[in-house]
Amino acid sequence: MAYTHKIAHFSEKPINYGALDENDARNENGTLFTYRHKEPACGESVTLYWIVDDENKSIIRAKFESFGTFAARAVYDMMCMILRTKSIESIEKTIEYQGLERFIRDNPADPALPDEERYLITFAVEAAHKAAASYLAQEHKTETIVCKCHCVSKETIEEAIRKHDLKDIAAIGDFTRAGRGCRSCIDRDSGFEKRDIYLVEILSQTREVIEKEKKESAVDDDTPFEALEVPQKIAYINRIVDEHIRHFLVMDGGDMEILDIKENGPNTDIYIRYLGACSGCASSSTGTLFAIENILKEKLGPNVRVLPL
Amino acid sequence: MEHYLDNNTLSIADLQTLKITETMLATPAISHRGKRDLAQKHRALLNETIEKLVNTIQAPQEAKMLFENDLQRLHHRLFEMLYRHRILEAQKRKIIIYGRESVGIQSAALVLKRRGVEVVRIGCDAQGAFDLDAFKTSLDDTVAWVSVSHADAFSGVLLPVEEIAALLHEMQIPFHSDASTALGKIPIDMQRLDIDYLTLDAHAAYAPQAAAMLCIKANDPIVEDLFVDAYGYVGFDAQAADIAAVAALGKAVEIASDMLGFETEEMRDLRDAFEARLEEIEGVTIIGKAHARLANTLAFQIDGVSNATATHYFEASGLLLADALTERLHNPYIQAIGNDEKLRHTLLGIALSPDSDEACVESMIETIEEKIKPTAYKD
Repeated sequence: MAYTHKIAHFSEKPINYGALDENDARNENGTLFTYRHKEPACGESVTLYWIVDDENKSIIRAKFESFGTFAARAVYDMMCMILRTKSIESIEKTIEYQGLERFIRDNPADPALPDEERYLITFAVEAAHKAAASYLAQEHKTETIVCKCHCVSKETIEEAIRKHDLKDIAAIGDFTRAGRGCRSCIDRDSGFEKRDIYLVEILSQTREVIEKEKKESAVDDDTPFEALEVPQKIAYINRIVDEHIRHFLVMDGGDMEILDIKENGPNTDIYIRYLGACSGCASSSTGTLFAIENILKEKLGPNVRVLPL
Repeated sequence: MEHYLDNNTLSIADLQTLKITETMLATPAISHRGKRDLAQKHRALLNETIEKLVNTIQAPQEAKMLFENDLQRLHHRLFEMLYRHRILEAQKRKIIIYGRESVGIQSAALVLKRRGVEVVRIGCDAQGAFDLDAFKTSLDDTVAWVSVSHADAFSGVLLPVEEIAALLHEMQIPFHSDASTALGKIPIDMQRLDIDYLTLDAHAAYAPQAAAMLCIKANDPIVEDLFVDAYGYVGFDAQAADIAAVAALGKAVEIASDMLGFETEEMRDLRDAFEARLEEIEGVTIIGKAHARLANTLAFQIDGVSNATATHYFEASGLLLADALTERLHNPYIQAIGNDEKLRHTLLGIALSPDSDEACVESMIETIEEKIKPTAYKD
């Protein structure tokens, strides 16, 4: 399979491949934290090694070892690069699919991986989130495994459907790898083994919830922005961000999210959080912020203020 | 230079088989009538082909042969007819297949499962040995038919067709066996084993991948339905080009039959040398070595190395392995071994072809040591 230059290069010669040990941790004045995500029986498995500054709960250095697809090594390698200096508490927000995918692209216009291997990014992001949760001693959510060949859980599938607005089984396979083994989990007729729950059921149930939520937060284009409820305002602004802002941020491995909107006298204050590479970037409080604010002012009115948290 | 490692899926057509197809392949696609005419025109060549096939597989007197474009379609057609006769008419409700059969048999069985037929898939252990005990336990008077290949296409382990045939003969259960992988590697004797339905695929015999054959014992009730368009004991049901493909299949089978023994010995020596080199590498486990195997086939695992990564490196080194080894989308192999967690993501199966040589083996060993081994995941 022909991979992009970045994928081929970093899969062949990953910079952050290998284990870290207690000595490495001592040398860097941190503590060693390791997390193994899934087992080789799942087809993909990764062990993340982090040297952590316990005081600030931030990552000093990150490395990995992996089992699975060739291209996965490049994805983990790039993720380890992004993880450096990041606060573990922020990982759930800073490591996300779109940012990581854009970060590993050769060319901003071309996807980093072929469609059928997009699940590698989902897998890497999931590994980082679970590792962070494990470090923070957060309780693991109980998971229901749907695809036994690749150990993909119902929760992962539901999240992928929501995050990528997936509408068919093939797309679920691309983003999660579910249903790409013996196919028994697709529906009752697709394989030889029985399952408690099938992908078609998860898809239809999740789509139903998504459609319901969309209806509830639907924005009527004729209603003035000021007259909208807060969830509708957020949906409206998100639409503007999707159309005019987000693609510039993700090109550099970053992203943003709307946290809240508050009326403050004559002004409308929009609270945002930077994600991925934007978080901690010098330009995020100057040039990038001004650009975001200008676009939102142009679309919503001159009294809009953007406040990053 | 590229080395071709045929693993019973990616075969290079033998030049001699291609040569006899040239003139016929030039004939444009024609009408149903035209097909008959073309078949008549090449009657002598076809008769010669049939004779070669009959001799190679030791087909019983008055056996019927049916040719199709591909083996998968042929298996679907056979299962469809057996379903009508053995499930609907004979009131049976269960079929037994080997869990690692080719995709054609697996998908044909799946179609029947959707119609309510109980499909029992017999597995194998981590060394590729067929679970004969489970097979015996599954046998009862509700079994409509059994489908077990001559050999496992990936590990090359020979399946106990003789014992299976004896058990089935006793219980009067029809037996289908796909001998594609075994063709030209071990003698095939349909009469001695008392096999009711035997299938063969052209590509496994190094013929162009456009013909598959089904041989059926005489007096079988499904014959009438299957042979809608039959000539003597040859039934054609496709394009004019099929005639060429069938003739090429005959030629390939003749070559395989002539070379059986001589070529097999050479391939066995090369395979054994390859295995010996593999065993020198730490963390390599040969699968199926304890069992009787096809001379050209071997399967192995490298500790902590996924077959997806290994395949990538083999391909990148110019070692062409068939897609059966990879874990990619819609892979028949993964569907077939979905029942074996241990082997699922690590097993590598290789079949040497007559073109494989020592340089090819060295190249593989080099790739494993230099590229693949360093990617191993530690437990």
